[in-house]
Amino acid sequence: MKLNERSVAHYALSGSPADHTGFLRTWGGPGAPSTPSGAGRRCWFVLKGNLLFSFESPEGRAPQSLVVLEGCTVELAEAPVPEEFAFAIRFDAPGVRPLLLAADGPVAQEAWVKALSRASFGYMRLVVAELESQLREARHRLAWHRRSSRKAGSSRCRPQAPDHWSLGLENGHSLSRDCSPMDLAEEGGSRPAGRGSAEWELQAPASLLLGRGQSPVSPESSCFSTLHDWYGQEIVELRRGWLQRAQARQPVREEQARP
Amino acid sequence: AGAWCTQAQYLRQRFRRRAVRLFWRRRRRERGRQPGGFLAVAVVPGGTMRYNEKELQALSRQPAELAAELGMRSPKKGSVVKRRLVKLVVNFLFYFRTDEAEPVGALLLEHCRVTQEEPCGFSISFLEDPDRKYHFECCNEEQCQEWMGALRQASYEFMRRSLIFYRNEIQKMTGKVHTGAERGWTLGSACLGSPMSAHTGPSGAVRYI
Repeated sequence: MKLNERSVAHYALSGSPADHTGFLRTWGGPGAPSTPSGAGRRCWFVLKGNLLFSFESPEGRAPQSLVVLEGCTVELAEAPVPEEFAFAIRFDAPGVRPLLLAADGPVAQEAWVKALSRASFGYMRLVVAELESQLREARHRLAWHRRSSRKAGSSRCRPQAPDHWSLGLENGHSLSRDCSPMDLAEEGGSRPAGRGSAEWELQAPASLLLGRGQSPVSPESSCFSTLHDWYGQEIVELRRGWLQRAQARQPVREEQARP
Repeated sequence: AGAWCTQAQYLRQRFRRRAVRLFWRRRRRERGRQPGGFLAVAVVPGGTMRYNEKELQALSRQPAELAAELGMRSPKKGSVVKRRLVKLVVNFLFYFRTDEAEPVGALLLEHCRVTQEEPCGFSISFLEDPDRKYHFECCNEEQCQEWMGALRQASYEFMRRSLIFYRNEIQKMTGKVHTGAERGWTLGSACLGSPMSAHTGPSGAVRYI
């Protein structure tokens, strides 16, 4: 069977991020006996996606071997030499012997087993689908809030922004422009759980995303000026809101009860 | 046709080639019966890379995202269009002779570029050699667009970018950083885009989708 091995080797050597790397002892390989024995060969292994490459050393110019990790199971195993932290990769494919590998220590062994068991395309798809649904959920919640506060009679020209800032002030909650997302989450958590906290976690820029329809920023968009304009809008809105709040805060300051 | 002076020479050449082909086919069958499976050796710049063909063969039998009979032309000069059953499974594109169960070949779709060539055709090329193109011909423009879309999303790198994109979007909206740790799984920090490769090799300056 033909394979675009030059492209595969190029991918292995390329700067794209590896999911896991490290030294492992291996008993498989060319001319290896069917029953593993001895201490095995120490090679540098690189896991990229669902492909496991091995090199003679981290500076190797070409991968020594390739293992396709789609549909395989990883489990701890017994090494021929005791006190090796061994694990085996078993394959779906009929007639393919399990690949025996050993790490340098228990931490490395656990890390490798974890990384290898998550190395399938199907797993990655699940992760992406999960995040996608979470994003959709967050957007729905935002739309719901937007609708409900619209009914409460907010201003038309800037959706959400004035409401968030003004209501925030009433609760003694100061949202500064420099507030990091983590701080917001913490402050949101200190309030009673439920819809209320979710409301205050949402920032004004999020409404821009819905107001202007789906975000044009997607993995496919590669035009920097589009991305720059898109994120630029957010900054402009944030700044406007911050200035507004700064003006409004002056008279209200005395009445605020700081937690 | 200019290489042979006589018909005898031509026939000898063909006979020789056929003998070689049969020799390798028998070798493959014998090696395939070994418990270890069929170990293929591929020559790559800097050395040789070994892989087990049976792993790829098994993968080619998995349910496909897309499968169709398309016209395919290899990057070799003077190659002709051949009908192949083309099957997209995860980040591999397998192509079979229409009447065979084992694939003729496989293409790993990482760092590849998919370009429209004609109204009903597209090509796949790879980062390290953008001029070397695998050409595919579809029945109509619709099928062509369908394949191009699917192939562009069929790489691990694409999934990684989607992941980073969704994570950032969620963080912007809710202020929470979803690493997925809530569900008991974590992805290596390398996934966030910082290159962890320790190799001295060509650093891809041009990122293909």
